[in-house]
Amino acid sequence: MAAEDNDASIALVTGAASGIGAAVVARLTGRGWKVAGVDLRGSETDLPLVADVADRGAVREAADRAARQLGPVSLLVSVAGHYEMFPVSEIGTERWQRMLSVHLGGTRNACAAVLPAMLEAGRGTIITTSSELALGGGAEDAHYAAAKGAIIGFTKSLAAEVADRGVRVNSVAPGPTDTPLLAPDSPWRDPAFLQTLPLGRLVSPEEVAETVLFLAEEGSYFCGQVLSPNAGAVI
Amino acid sequence: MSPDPEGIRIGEALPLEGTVALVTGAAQGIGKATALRLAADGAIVAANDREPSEALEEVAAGCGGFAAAADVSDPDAVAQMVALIGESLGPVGVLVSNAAYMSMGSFTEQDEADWWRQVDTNLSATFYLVREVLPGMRRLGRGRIVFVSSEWGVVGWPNATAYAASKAGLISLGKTLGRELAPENIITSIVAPGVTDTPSSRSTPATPECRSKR
Repeated sequence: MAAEDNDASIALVTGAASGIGAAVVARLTGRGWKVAGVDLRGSETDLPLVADVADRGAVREAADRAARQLGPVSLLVSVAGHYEMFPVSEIGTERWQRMLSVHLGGTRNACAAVLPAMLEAGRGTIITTSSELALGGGAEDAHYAAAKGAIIGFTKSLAAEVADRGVRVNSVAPGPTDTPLLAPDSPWRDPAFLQTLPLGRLVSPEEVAETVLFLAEEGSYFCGQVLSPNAGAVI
Repeated sequence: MSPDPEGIRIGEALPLEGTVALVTGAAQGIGKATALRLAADGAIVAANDREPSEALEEVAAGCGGFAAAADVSDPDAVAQMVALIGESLGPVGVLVSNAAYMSMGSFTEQDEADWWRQVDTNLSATFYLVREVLPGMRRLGRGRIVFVSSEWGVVGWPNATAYAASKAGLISLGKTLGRELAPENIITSIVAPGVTDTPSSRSTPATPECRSKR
């Protein structure tokens, strides 16, 4: 299903201002989708909306505004998140809860905001963003991996719950990706680390966006799946 | 050549004799069975559950340790409980994070607080527990951590978005800690049981419904 093939071509993308989210916006826009972008700052989208995804009310308001101004949202791509590395003993309660509230809570809030209308329409696609670290684990990533793993369980369950009402839910689990989330001195950019990856390089945001686009437009037979563009980080 | 009568030593088994084990959700079901099994192998078991109860006292009495009632979703309560265990029995060498809360319901209709309570109890509580027992394990120079996840954390389940999220998060957390702590001889593992014949599953009316959904 390409956007130009039907009139239900409105997408809501969270984390739309940079990195994977911005690449998803660019790819969708290039295919004819109208995109409302949610982020902590303005995004280069048809409808930039500033909101914290951890704020349930703000996300609902953003989704409502997207529907009013652009039309019924038929695609949600939930990307918003942040990344930080700490040994488990240095992750305090505040960091733990913030990680869960942004990643799992943000995904939950975005799904809760768009799902009722999708179910009423009997059609819709939701794509969440997990991580290769949730599949294989990674030292000093306890809170990040836990939150991203929770997104996988959430995605599979929601997919099973709403598939028979016309809504497909899937997830992408990128490997280390060349985005602003990886600081210049990030160990994930270390050539010694990259050499351990079967493909020997970071994934590009555009490659993750291509995976998202596939799930959105062509993968009508994917339900509750986790696609992991990860340069072989987890095989 | 005759076999070595002592047997072939494959790996270093953790001697449970005298080891303090903390088992959460130990008043019944998997937690109770685990607490009694560890005690049978010589562990001194601190049996935790959310509230004090006769059932918890009975398990504790059978374990040679004591009952440690605390709501594990409360980080302060976890800190106090682990401190009390440390003062009374010694540092925790084995942690079995088993306590869980499940409440099934449609994602779009389920009460949000009830949704998060499952994540708090099943996933965040495990983090709080690990954080509090780690200093003691480091002093011991060894530790064994076991998370009780669920088959639903692996495959998901309709009307169980929070439960499956929490249990899938546990798997990823366990893999991460497995990598991070193994060099310190603190080994993290995960078990993911299928639907188990426990008082919880018997009293969950949604179980037959969710079976029929599949």
